[in-house]
Amino acid sequence: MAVDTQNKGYSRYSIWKVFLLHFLPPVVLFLGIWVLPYRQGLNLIEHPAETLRIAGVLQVFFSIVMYSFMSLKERRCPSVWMAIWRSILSLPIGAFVLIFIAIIFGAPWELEHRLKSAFWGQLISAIVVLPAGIVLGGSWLDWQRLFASTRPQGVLEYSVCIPAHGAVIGAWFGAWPMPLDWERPWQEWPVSVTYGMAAGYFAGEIISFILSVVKARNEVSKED
Amino acid sequence: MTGGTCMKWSAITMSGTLVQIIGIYFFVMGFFPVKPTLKGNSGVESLRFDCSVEYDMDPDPRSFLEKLEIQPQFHRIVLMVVDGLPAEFLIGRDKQPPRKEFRDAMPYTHELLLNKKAVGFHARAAPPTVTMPRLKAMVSGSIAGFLDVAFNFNTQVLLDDNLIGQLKRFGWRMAMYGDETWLRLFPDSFLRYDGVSSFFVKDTVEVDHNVSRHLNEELSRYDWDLLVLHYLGLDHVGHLGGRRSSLMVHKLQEMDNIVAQLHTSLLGDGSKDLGRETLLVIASDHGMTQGGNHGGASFEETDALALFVRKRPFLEYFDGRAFQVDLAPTLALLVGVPIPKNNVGALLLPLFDSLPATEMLRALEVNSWQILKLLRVRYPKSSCLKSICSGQKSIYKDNNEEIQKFCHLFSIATDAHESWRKSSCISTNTSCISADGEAVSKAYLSFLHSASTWLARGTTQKDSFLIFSGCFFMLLSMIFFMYVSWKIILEDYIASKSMVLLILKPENWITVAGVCGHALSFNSSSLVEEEQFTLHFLQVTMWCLFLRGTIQRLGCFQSMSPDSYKLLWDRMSCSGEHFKQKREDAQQNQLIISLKQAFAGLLVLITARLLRGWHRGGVNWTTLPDIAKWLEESDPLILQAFHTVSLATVYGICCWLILNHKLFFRLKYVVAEIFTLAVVLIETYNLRIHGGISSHADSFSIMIAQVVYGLLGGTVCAVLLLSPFLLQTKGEVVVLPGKNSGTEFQTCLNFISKVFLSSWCFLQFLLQKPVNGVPILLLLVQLIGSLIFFSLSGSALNFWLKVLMLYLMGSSGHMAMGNTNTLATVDVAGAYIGLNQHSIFLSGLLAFIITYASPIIHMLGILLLVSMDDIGNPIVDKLEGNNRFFVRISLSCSIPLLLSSVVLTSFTFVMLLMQGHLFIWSVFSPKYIYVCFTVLSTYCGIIINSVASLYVYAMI
Repeated sequence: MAVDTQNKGYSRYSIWKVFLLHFLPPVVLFLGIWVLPYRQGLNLIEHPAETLRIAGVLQVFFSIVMYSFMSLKERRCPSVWMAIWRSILSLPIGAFVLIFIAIIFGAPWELEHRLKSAFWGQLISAIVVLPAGIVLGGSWLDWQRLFASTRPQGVLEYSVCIPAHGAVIGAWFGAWPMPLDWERPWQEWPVSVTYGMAAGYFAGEIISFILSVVKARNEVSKED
Repeated sequence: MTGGTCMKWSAITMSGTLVQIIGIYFFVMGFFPVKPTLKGNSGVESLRFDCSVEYDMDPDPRSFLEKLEIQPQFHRIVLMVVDGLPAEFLIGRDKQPPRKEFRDAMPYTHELLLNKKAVGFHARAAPPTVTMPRLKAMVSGSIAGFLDVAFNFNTQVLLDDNLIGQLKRFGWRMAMYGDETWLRLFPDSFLRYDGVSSFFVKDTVEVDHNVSRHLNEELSRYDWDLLVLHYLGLDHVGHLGGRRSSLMVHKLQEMDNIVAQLHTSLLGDGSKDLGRETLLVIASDHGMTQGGNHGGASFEETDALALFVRKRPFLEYFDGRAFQVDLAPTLALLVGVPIPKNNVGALLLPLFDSLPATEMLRALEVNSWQILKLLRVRYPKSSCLKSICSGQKSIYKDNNEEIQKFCHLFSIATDAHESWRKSSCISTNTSCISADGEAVSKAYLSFLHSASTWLARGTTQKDSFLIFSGCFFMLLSMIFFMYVSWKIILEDYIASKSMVLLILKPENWITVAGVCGHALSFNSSSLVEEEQFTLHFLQVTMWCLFLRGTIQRLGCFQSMSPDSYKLLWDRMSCSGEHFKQKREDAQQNQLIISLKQAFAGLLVLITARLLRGWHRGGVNWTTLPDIAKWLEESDPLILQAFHTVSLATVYGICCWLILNHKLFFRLKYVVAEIFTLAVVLIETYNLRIHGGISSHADSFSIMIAQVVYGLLGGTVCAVLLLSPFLLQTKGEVVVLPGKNSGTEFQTCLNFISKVFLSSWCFLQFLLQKPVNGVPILLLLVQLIGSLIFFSLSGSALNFWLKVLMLYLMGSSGHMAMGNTNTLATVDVAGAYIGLNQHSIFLSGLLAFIITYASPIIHMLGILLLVSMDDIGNPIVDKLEGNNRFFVRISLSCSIPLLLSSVVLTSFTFVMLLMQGHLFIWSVFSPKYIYVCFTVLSTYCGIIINSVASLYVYAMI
C-alpha cells in the first residue's frame, strides 16, 4: 500500500512543529480577511470582492510555501516545481468545484455576483483544496480516503483534512442566517458564508491540533 | 412478517390517521372560531341604547334622520378608488413629505391638501391586501375572520350589512365605473355601470380610459347621488414595474387630472350644487411593495389612502393615521344613514369639524353604541358588558382585562357626555361647550379607538379545551406513526439482511436531525415565509451526503488491500458472503454502478438548483428577477416554445418509461397511443388559450379539456383494473433469466405506477400556468434521476431513507412550482379549466391538484420506488420477495404519514406559542392552512398507493 510506504518516510514531529503547522494558517487567514484589508480601508461587508481577493492571494502564497516545504521534507513530492504545478492545477479546479457546490446550495448565479463568487472560490479553494493538492498530488485513492471517508493518517494529513472539513461545514452553517429578515448587510452572499468558513476553519485547526498531539503522532511512532 | 402483524400495523396506522383528522378538526375549530357577525341591516334601533340584537327590516329614512339628530352634511358622494395607490405617495410617511417626483406628478391634489380643502389619512388596510376583501372592509367596516377570507376567495355577493345597501334603501341613486368586482359584490345596486376587468394585467391604459370616458357625461348629469370610480391602472403599473416604474409618474398625472376635473366641476366655484353638498373621497384599497406586489401585511402594502375633499376648508391640516374600516361609519354618519352592523371602525373626527358640538358628540355616541353591541356579541359571557347594557352604574368586574378596560372607557365617556349635556342645556355659551365638548369627544375616541383595534385584530374568545384536545390528538397520532414506522424499519433491516444500526451511518442521523431542524425552523416567522430555502438546503445537503457515500464506494476495489476497505465495503454495500463470491465481477460492476450513480446524483442536484431558481418564492426577495419572470416578460412565443418543448420531452420520457417495461406487450402500446392523443389535445388547448387564438375559454377549449380529463382518468382506471388479469392471461415468464425482476406483483405494480405518474404529469401540463411547464419536466427528471440513484445504491441506503428523501423532494418541489406560504399564490385561474359552470367542489379540486402537483408526483414516485428492483439485493424466492415488498409498501405509507404529522404537530405547537405574535394572521395562519392541505395530499398519495398495491396483490 502506497500510504504505508510513505508513512515510513515521515519525520517525527516535535510538538512545536505541530503547533506551528496548525497555528500559522489561521493567523494568515485572519490577517487576510481582517487585518490587511482594514489597513487599506476595506472590509468584508462593504467590499466583499476586494477583501476576499486579498485574503485569497495571501492564503494561496502562504499555502504554497508552507505545504510545499512540509511535503518536501516528507519526500512526498518529487520537486519544488512539482509542488507549484500541483497548486496551479488544484487551485482552479477546487475553486470551480466549490463554487459549483455553493451555487447548487443556493448561492446566486446571476452574473452581477461573479466577482464575489470567484474570489470566494479562490479563498475557500486555497484553504480546502490547495493544501491537499500539494500534499496528496494526483492520487485518487488518497483524495477519496481523506475527503469521502475522512480517514487521515499522520500529522500532515490531519492538518490538511480536518481544517478543510471544518471550513466546509462552517460555510454550510454560515448560510443559515441568510434567509432571515434581519436585513443586516452581513447576511448577503458571501459574507456570512465566509465568516462561517473562517470559524469552522479555526475550529478545525484546533481539533486537528489536539488529534495530532494525542493520536497522529503516536500512530506514526508506532509504525516506525 | 406475518399477516397478523401486518393487520396490526395497518390498524394502528388507520387509527392514527383518524385521530389526526379529529385533532385537526378540533384545533381548527378552537383556534379559528368563526367570528360571530350580526345579521340584518341596522336601522332606527341603532339609535336606542340597548344591547338587543333585533333589527328593523325596513327603516323609514325620515324617522331615522329625526332620531339621529345629526344634520346630513353631504348629499352626494364621489368615491374614487385608485387601486393600489399607497398613501405615502400623497401624504408622505413619518411626517416626511412625499417624494418630489410624486408631488410634482400630482400638483392639483397637493394644492388641495395645502389649501386645507382636502384632508388625507393613512387608512391602514388589514391583510390580505387584495382588492375584494378590502372593498368589503371599506363599505361594511368589518374585517372578516381568517377562515372566512381563506375559504371565500371567490364569494360573490356581499350579504352583510354595508354602506351601499344602506344607501340603496335610503333611495340613493348610484353609478359605478371601474373594477367589475363592485358589480359582483353589489348586483342590481347601480343605475348605470361599466365594469372593467383586471384580467389583463399588462394593460395600463385602456383599463382607465374605459372609466374616464364616462366622466364627462356623468358630471353633466344630476340624477346620481353616489358615483363610484375604480381605477385599476395604477395597480397594473405596480405589477409591471414596481413603485419606481417609469409609467408611474404618468399614471399619477392622469389620476391628478381626474381629481382636478372632478373637483372643478363638482366643488369648484362655478359648479352648480343645486343645494346639495358634494363630498369627494379618494381612496385606495391597498398599497404596494417596492416591487409592486400586494397581499401581505407589510407597511407598504397596508398603507392605503383615504382622502376627503369638500368645499369648506378643513380647520387644520391633519395627516393622521386611521384604519380603512373607519371609512364606513364616517361616510354613513356624514350622509345620515345607519352605521353598518358589523362595523369595527371609528369615526374620523376631522370630517365632523363643522358640526355643532351636540351633533358631533351624538355621532360619537351612535358609533360607540354600535361598537358596544358588537363587543357584546363577540364576548357574550362578559359580565361587565352585561351590566352596562342593563344600565347599572355599579363597579364593573370582568375576567378579561381588555374588556374591563373597554367597559371602563365607555362608562367614562357616557358619564362625561351626560354631565356635559346637563351643563350645556342650561347655558348655551359657545366657549363652555367647545371646552367641555372636547374632553367628552376625547373620552369617546379613546373608547372607540381601543375597542376598534381590538375588534379589528380579530381576537375572539378561543376555546382552549378544543385547542388543547386537538394538540393532544395530533401528538397521539404522531406517536402512533412513529411506533409503526420504527417497527417496520426494524422489519426492513431484517428483510434486507442489512444489520447496520440506524445511528451508525451519517446519512441517517443527519436526515433525522434535518427533519427535526425543519420542524423547529417554524418558530421563526421569516423562516416560515422563506421555507423554500430551508427545504432546498436540506434536500441538497442530503444529496451531497448520498453522493459522498457513492464516492466512498467509487473505485475502492482497485486497491486490493487494507482491511478497512473491505470492512467499509461490507458495511456499506452488501453482505460479506456475497462479496467473497463475486469479487471479480463486483469490482467492475461496482465501478460502473458508482459512476452511474454519481451522474444521476449530479443530475438531481442540477435540476434541484434550476427548480429553486425558477420562481423566487417567499416574501423578501420576490421582487428580484427569476427565470419565471424573465419568461413571462419576454415574447409569448418563447414561453410557448419552452412549454411545448418540455411537454414533448415529458411525453418522450413517459413513453420510454412505459414502453421499456418488460411485460404487457399489447397494453403498453395502447396506453402509449392514448397518451399521444392526450398530449396532442393538451398542446392544442394551450395553443388556443395561451397562443392567442382565443383569449378566453370557449366551448371548444372546454370540450378539449374535458376530453383530456376523460382520457387520462379512464387510462388510469383501466390500467389499474386490467393489468393483473392481462399479466396472468399472457402467461409470460415473470422472472426473466439473468435479471432480478422480482415477483409478478412487483412487475405489475411497476407498470401501474408508471402510468399513474405519466398521467399526473400530463394533467399538470393542462392545468398549470404555461411558465410552469419546464418545472414539471425538471421535477420528472429529478424524480427519475433519484429513482435511478436509489435503485443503484441497493441496500447501501436504507429504504426508509429513500422514501423520506422523495417526500422531502416533493415538499421542495411544491415551492419550486411557485407556491409560497401566503394564500395569494394559489392559482385560481387554473381552477376553472374545463368547467362549464361554476362549481365550488370541482374548482376546489382543480386548485388542489394544481397546488399539490409536486407532493403527489413524488408520492407516485414512492410507489414506483417500491416496485423497482434493487441491484445487489437479489430475491432468493418468491416468499421472501413478497415479504420484502410488504415491508416496503408499509414503509411507503408510514414514512410520509410520519413526516407530515411531524410537520403538522410541530406547527400546531408553534401556532399555540405564537398566539400573540404580530404575524399570527398574516404568516402563521396561512401556513397552517397549507400544512393541513399537505396532510391531505399525503393522505391522497397514500390512498392511491395502498389501494393500487392491495388490489394488485388481491388479484394476483
